[in-house]
Amino acid sequence: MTRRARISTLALAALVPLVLLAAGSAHADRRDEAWRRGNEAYLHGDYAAAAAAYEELAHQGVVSADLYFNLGDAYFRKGSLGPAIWAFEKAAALDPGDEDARYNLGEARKLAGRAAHDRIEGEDRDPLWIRAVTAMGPSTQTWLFVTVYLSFFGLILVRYRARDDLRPALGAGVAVLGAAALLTGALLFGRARLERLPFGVVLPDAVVVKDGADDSYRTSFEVHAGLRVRMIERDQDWLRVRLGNGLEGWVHAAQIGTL
Amino acid sequence: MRTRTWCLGLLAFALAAVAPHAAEAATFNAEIDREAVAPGDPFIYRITLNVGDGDAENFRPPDFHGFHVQQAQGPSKSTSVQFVFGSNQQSVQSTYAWTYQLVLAPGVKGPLTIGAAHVRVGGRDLVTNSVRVRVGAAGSQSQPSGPPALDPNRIFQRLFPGAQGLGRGGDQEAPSEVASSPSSAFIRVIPDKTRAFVGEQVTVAWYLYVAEVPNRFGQTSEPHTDGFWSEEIPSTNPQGRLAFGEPQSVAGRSYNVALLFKKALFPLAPGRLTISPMEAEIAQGDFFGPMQVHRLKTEPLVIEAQALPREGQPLHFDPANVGRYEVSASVDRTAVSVGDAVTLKVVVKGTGNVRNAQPPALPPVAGWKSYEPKTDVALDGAETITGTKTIEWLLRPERGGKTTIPALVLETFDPAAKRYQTARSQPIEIVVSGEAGTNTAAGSAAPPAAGGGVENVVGGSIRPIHARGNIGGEAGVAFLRSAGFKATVVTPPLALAVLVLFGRVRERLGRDSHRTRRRRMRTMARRRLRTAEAHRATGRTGDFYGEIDRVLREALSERLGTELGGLRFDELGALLRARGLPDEQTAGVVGAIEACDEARFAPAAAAADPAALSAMLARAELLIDGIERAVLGEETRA
Repeated sequence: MTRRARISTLALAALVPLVLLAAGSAHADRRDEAWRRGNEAYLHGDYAAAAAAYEELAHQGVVSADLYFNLGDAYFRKGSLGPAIWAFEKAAALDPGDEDARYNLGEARKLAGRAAHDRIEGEDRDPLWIRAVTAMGPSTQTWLFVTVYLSFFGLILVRYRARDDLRPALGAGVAVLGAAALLTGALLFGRARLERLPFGVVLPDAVVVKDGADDSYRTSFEVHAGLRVRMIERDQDWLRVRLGNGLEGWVHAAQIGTL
Repeated sequence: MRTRTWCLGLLAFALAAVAPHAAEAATFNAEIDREAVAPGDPFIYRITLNVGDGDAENFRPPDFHGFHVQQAQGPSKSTSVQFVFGSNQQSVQSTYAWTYQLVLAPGVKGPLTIGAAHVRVGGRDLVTNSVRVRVGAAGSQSQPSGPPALDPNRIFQRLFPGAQGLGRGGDQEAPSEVASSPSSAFIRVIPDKTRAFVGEQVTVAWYLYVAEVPNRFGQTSEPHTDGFWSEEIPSTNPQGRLAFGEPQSVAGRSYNVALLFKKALFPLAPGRLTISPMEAEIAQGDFFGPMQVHRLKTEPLVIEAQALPREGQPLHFDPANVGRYEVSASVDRTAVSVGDAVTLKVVVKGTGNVRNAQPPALPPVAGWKSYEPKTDVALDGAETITGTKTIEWLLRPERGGKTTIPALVLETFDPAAKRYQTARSQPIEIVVSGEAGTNTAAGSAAPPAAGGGVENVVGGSIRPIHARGNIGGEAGVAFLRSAGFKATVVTPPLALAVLVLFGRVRERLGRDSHRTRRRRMRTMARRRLRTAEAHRATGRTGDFYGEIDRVLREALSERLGTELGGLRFDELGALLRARGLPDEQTAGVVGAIEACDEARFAPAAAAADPAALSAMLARAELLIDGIERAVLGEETRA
């Protein structure tokens, strides 16, 4: 390789990360601009514009408890209670410790209940593993697992190098961290499993549930805005949903907001 | 009303069905309630038609010359049923009495006669008796003071449409040409006061007075309340229909009274303010004729609005704040991060023109940005206007620290106590965490919304948005879904495995085995012999023998695994033999070391001979090779 060729290669290698960095920065700026636009629209009472700006961010793949919280507020003020409940549910799922999201979710459910309340006979609580998995936000869960997991291997390494007299104590630490890593790993695994059969929220004020994946099927029952359902199966534009008591039926996929 | 009309229709049908028999029993009488009256003093003239069956027609009223007809009323109906028992049969006879009543006032003194009225029932002419009235000396009511006189013919057209050959039918709903009779139906406007302060509530009620409940009521023009802030007081009438209460007597006459509506009026400026007349129509009808429509109109009402007293009036007092109010303030959180919004809710509660009340202004709070407030008014629906006005401000801190929202002050004038008062809220302390710049304002350049407050379309109270300057995003979720997470999971165990393997290899390589010692010895010997060769070539004899001595000792030391420094030659020989080095080799090695020692410290000329040096070098190589190949006892055990 000639000297000139070597210099060109090095320059290219240095340029690629710079270009990627610049692209990432521009993307972040666009996101922040949409975010500020949404906030300003909301604060000036233009809730439709605020919801549109927040939706734009969600479509860009931004995952943020704040984003969904604000989106819920905008929908609530617009009077769209189903989407508001969905957004507050998302915010609370991303950050279960967010008091504001839980409060607003309660208020939205209360208001939706005044219009139409779906009383599910024989509704079961979510299984223990689901409650355990959703007790913590996915972000927290991820960082906890990564921390414990890396600590576990780090301690193994330390023990490997340690003096003989320190090895028993370090071995106990390794065992504890190993158990913790297994537990947090199991929670993450549970979350991945939950995402394969996610929950959803009914978005329109009223949705008819059919016996099959077509409008020609018999109407089985009707559900209303804000009801939480389990999404079992998808068939093109149709979703098979299951209520808390096991009752199942098909609805248009667009009528359900995925959590 | 429909029921009444239906019943009258049924009665008409019954009358017509039995007409031939009823005509024989029909009577037609006239009477007055008193025989002597003063001029202008009203009295009642009543005509009663009793009829078993049959249709009445060709009515001709009497001559009312010398009288003013002030009011007309009727018909009122009564029914009597009589059972007749014969020798072999029994029958039932029903008699219907229709009564018409007029209020007449004589215009002149002297005896006056009201002539006979005529009607035809079942083909037979009936005639009333004439009545005579003595009109005496004028008293206090010598001049007619009542309403203007009515045309008796038109009155009878209305009461008895068959009169004077006028046919039935026609425009049933057409307004009657008959002028309204204020005495039989009128609307009264009643204020609770006619003098009030600016901003003080005046309750005005509009009542309908009717001698007979009308078939229909319709308002044709609203009373205008220019100069007032008007609040409708919710009606208690069922489903918007008129609800008539207990009859009331007005000027000796019984009326059915219904509340039309009530308004709470708040004068906006001092002076004489006029409430314009209200106009309405009522429609009344009966079996005999078309619906009669009466137009009603109230008198204008004047309210005198007084200016608020100057004495004790606070500077810049807002006259909208007349009433009794209290004010409270609250926030949805007292600890907040920079950039997050706080909702400040101010509630003005009390009695007065709540909707128009001007809430206390929010003073600028340093380090905070406030947005256009949302206003919500809830009235209690009582006759005296009470309620709450709620104003919600979104506030956003732009820097950290402790902030106190000061007490909000509302100056009011209590019209009952006739003095100014001050209501104030409690100050509120808010702690803001974070620093300016970490979460900057969300575009503070945006102008505030035009106009007044924005009404909350949904209602309900929710926590405000998180208006941080930048959207953070859940990095954990992004990481979980990235290849980095997989790498994080896979790398540590792999790295650990590699590390352990490397250690094992290294350990193995580092073990002091026979082979490694031999290898190490061979390397060392090669290096030393090269050095010795260099000394030989340069003629450094002492250094040459020193190097040969060192290489032999180190080779032995490596093979034996022990230091040989300090051993005498006999001890070295004994050690080598003890470790299994053959005697010949032992002697050769010890001899060579001895020779080197001698040549180094006592150099002889022979020793410096190049041939001798080369011979010593070759000998050393052979000895080292022998040492290397020798099988020593300790190694055999190992």
